[in-house]
Amino acid sequence: MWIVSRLDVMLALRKMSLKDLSAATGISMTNLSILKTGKARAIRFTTLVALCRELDCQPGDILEFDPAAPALVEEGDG
Amino acid sequence: MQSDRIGSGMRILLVVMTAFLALYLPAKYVLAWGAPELAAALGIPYLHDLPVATVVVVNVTVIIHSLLMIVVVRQVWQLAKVFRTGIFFSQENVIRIRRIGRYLILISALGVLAPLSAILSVLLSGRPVQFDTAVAQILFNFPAGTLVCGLLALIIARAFDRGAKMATEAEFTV
Repeated sequence: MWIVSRLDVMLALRKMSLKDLSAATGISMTNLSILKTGKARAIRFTTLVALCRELDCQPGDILEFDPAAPALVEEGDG
Repeated sequence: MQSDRIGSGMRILLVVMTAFLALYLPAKYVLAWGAPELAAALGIPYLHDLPVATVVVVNVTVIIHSLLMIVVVRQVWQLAKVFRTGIFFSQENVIRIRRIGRYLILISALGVLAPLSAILSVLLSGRPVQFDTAVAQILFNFPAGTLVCGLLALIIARAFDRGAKMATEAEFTV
């Protein structure tokens, strides 16, 4: 996976905690934690919409393509 | 309560099946020892008349066959237990189903190798063998059903492997 989550940066910029974001978006703390720590393998459009709406940003502000990031999933797996 | 009753009934059935599978083939040879008519009726070779090597081959094959059947039944039992908890797509289940498939294929191979090695040992001992009867014995006793079940289990294992990977994907989809 070369997609890096920048959710922690966005939260720091907005001075929001993960708990606040969870309460505002309705996304569970577990899922937000998976996204924040970079363990997520896929993200739903509905999740992105909720995050972008609450953080007042674009999807590109939350997710970033980094060719140097360590691969979590083998290519062609799934 | 009702599921507990079904569970214990299933357990008893599996124990009976395991005992039957483990004992019925060796028991046939023990019963037919010294009784050629009974051996013919049970459809097994009369061991008293055969060379020692053939007797050893047949007995070793029967023991391996029974042991493999016990392992297969045990794996099916464990799989049924895991399925009852609601866990279907996991790598442990994939390994179990794959193991069942491999053992079933091995059992079907034993079904061909046992009469073949018995016939060869009779030939090597210098006794006459009717080839048409020998070939018919191998062909008619070929456990095609077991082989098909084994292959099916391997295909199912691949499907479960895919399912397990998809379950992991779903778990990490936010």
